[in-house]
Amino acid sequence: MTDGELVERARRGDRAAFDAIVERYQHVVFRTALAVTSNREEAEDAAQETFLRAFGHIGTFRGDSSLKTWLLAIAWREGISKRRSLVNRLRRMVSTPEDEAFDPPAAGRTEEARVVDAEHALTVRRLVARLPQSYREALMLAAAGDYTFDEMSAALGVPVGTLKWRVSEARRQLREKLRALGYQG
Amino acid sequence: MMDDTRLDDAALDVLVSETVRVDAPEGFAIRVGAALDSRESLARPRAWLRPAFAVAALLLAALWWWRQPVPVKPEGLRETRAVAPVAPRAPYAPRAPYAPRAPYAPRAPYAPRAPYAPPAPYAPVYVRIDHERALDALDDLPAVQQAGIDPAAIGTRTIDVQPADAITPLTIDTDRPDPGGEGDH
Repeated sequence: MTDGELVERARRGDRAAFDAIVERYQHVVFRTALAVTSNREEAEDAAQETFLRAFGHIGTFRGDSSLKTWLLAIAWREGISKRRSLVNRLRRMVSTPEDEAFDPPAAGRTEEARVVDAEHALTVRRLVARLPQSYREALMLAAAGDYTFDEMSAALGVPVGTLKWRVSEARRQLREKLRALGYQG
Repeated sequence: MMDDTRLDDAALDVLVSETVRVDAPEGFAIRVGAALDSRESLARPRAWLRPAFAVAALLLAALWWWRQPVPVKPEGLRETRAVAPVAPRAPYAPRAPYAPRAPYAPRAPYAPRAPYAPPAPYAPVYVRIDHERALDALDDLPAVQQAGIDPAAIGTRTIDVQPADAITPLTIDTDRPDPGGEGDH
């Protein structure tokens, strides 16, 4: 069933259709929220709020953009809202971003490779967390591979050129830091 | 040191992607569905709350407005204080003790009301007017004689009128000196 059909049925109050939308886009929305918050718990809360808000406003979705782009815009706003909330700010003061485990995919890897992967992932995650916020968000969205630059531009209201420049700058800074650490890949 | 070719954009993207490409936690869709169910069940009984709050707010506003004292101009107050200082109030006279109220006399029982008599049927009164009847003869009308008027009876007197002088024609003396415009008056 296409997104359009699911939206049409969800508009008429079909919960099963909306559950299918949640099932289809849960990972995308979660990764978007994670790109903004850099915190797994906050990302989960923001992703859930995204779907609740989408369900409440599904009648206002006009179909000018794709459903995925619409959800990206909502998830982005919810993520920013979570990031700015006082409780989460206080929580970040007592914990570092490196404490958050992102659990990289480990399918088909040996135990030794998984340990190395985990070590590399931790290093990269620490470096990514220290990037300036706008660079970090753009890099994480682009690296997740869920959206094209056009979709990101439409949802976030940022020109494509600006987004590409931010990603490029984030890569450059990350590369320099990895080199400084003697990273061999 | 490390090889530059091993940290090109593609390699870096793979590295970052492996770090940030995280899926939503297990059972996330179910959690969202439960949150939706909970919100729907809460929203239904609360549907009447919004108009109730609006009505309550209106009532409170009306009550507050009604209890407001009549505004007095501060200038008027100042003048009043300056002209007539407030005299000390005489002490209140002690109130006379309340006299015990006389017990209520029992009320006379109601006399039974006479049964309702229906009014007499309405009898119409007809007055016949003969518009074709003959008029009275003129000779039959009463004649009124005019009384003679006596001048002595109303106090008249005679007045002697002197005969008027003969009118002499107007002559203009042109030999008189010109008074210089004053003669025009």
